Amino acid sequence: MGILISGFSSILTGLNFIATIHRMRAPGLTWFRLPIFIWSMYATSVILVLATPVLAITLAMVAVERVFHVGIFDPSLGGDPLLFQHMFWFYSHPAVYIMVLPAMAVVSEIIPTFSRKPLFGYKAVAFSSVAIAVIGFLVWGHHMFVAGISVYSAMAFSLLSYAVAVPSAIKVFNWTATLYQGPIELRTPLLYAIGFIALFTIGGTTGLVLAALGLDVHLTDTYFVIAHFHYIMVGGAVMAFLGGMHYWWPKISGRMYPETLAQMSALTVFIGFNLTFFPQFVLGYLGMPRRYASYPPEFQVLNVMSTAGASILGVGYIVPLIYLIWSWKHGEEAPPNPWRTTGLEWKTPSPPPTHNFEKTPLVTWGAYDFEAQKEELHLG
Amino acid sequence: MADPLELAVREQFQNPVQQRETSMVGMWVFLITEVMLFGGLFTGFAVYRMEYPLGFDLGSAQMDFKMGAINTAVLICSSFAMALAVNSAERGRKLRLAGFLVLTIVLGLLFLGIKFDEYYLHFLDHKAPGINFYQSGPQASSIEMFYVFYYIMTGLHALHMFVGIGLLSVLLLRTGLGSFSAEYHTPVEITGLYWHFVDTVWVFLFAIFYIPGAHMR
Amino acid sequence: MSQPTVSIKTYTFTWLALLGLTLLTSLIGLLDLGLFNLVTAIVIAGIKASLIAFFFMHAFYESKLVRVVLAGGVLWFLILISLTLGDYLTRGLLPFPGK
Repeated sequence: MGILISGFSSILTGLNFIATIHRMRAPGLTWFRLPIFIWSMYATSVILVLATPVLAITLAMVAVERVFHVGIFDPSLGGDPLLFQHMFWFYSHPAVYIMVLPAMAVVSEIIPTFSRKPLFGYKAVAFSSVAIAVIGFLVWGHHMFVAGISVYSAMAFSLLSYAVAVPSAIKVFNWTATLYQGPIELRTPLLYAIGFIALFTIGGTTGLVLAALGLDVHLTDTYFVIAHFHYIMVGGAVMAFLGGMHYWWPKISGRMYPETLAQMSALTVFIGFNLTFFPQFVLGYLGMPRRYASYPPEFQVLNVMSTAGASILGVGYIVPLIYLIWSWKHGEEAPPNPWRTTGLEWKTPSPPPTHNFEKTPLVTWGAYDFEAQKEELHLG
Repeated sequence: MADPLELAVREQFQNPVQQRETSMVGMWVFLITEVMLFGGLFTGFAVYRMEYPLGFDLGSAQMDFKMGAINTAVLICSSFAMALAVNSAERGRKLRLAGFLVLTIVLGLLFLGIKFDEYYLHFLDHKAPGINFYQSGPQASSIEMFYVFYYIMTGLHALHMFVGIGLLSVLLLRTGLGSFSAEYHTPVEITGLYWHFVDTVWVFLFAIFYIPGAHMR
Repeated sequence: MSQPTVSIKTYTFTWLALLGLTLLTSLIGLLDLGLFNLVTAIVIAGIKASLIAFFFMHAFYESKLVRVVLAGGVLWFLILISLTLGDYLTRGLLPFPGK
């Protein structure tokens, strides 16, 4: 019931964003002047709207099955568990793109700001966001390689899983090219964004390892899979989240966070994260299964290393929690545009009034057009 | 007395055309979420139909084809009435709008009456899995699976009909209160979209549940 | 918007076509065509659905975005059903057990 309700909220959010982005942009804000953040959120919204209903109906069928004691998915009642898996993963694979696209959205905003130059390859990154959303719907079978699907089906899903990595890679290349030769300021949000690029790349490439049928037979349901998705979810998405929190903190709270402490926390997170999850790749290919309560003694060293890393990672999370809350009342007051960057959100006070803008803005510039706003930004 | 058109434009919109356009896009996107919702059920049905072709055809043969066909016609007529209601709203003909809304509601209730009558007869005939089901013969369990999908899919559809009738009733009330005019009648249009969608789902339900076994009765 | 989007005449033709197709599909249903009973039923249902979408729901007359949204929804359902059935239909093609 809870999942159905929260799923419905996801669907409505996606619907809201799609309608807003299509029909309620500010005057002059054409599609190709939108910040990449919006393109990625648009792609996320499309996924939300198309995938979540399938989860809803699958869960409803499970509920009917339980209440009326009929077999739809339950093999002991004559049902087909693979049908459940098809329908479950049809949602759940796109769901991970729901989680990573907003993270990529944040990174796409942070990188140009602290490189002080426009995003390299705007259209490539914009279309890649949409491509990730679309191709992401065609790969769900890679969660079922050893579940009993046909070999031909598995081959098709494997090939498509390789295809879905391409637009993500395109984004990584474009972010890197944006940084190249830019007058880089290693502020906290950028540290998290660069961490994202490094760790997401590792997570993504190990996804390709798992997408290879032969390798997946050995690596499925081991710690390798856990390491893979944590590199993306924590090394990627959580770091992007922290980067975004720090990037927009001045806008949200009207205060600055303590920079040096924040940079040290970012480093702590990075170190703690790698110590936690890198050993898990090794554990996985050595054969340690996931979801087991205990393990053989030969795996102990790596497990302890992982736990130690987790403690360091925990410190890395708690310190920002403390200083962000502290800064809400005691931080230095933030100007409207502390990073002196492009973007409509920086043209309002920090924090913004309820109606956001005194007058509806008329947009006549590109999303990362530092040149066009040169004079304005020096005053920020 | 303020211009009703201005009162109808909400703060986040710049003009009434944008408001209507956005509402329409929003409703269409919602309808495709419904397509995916029912789509999951159609997919499950397809898998089992492929697995148990004979059982599913036998199940279909047990359906009351006449009632199904009549219900299909009833819903088609209700969609016609709804379309005429929207047409009346577009022309600012409030009395006709109210009349067609009433007709749509009545036909919707007729559909539900026939549907629940069918359910009741199934129940008496021991064709309600999980509650009161008995079937003999080697195809018994696959016929049961047919009924499981039949109840879930037509039941979900009936639930959508109830919601639709509720929405139409609200529209009727608002028509009576004078909320709609030729310039502003977006709620009528978008409720119309919802109603037509629910009709479309039934068109497919009729096709997969009633027709395959019709020749075997 | 005081001009109606669609004329009553168009609506009436659509309504009659829908009833006619219902009659057609019912008559075909009385013949024994094996698998094609289901296939023709679904095809005719698809035609009826298109008529409802284009005329009753004004998809023919609305913006391109609306038609893209509609097509997208249909396409995504087809992705779900075809890749799922694709698994089931390609099982047992190799002589190995369980494949």
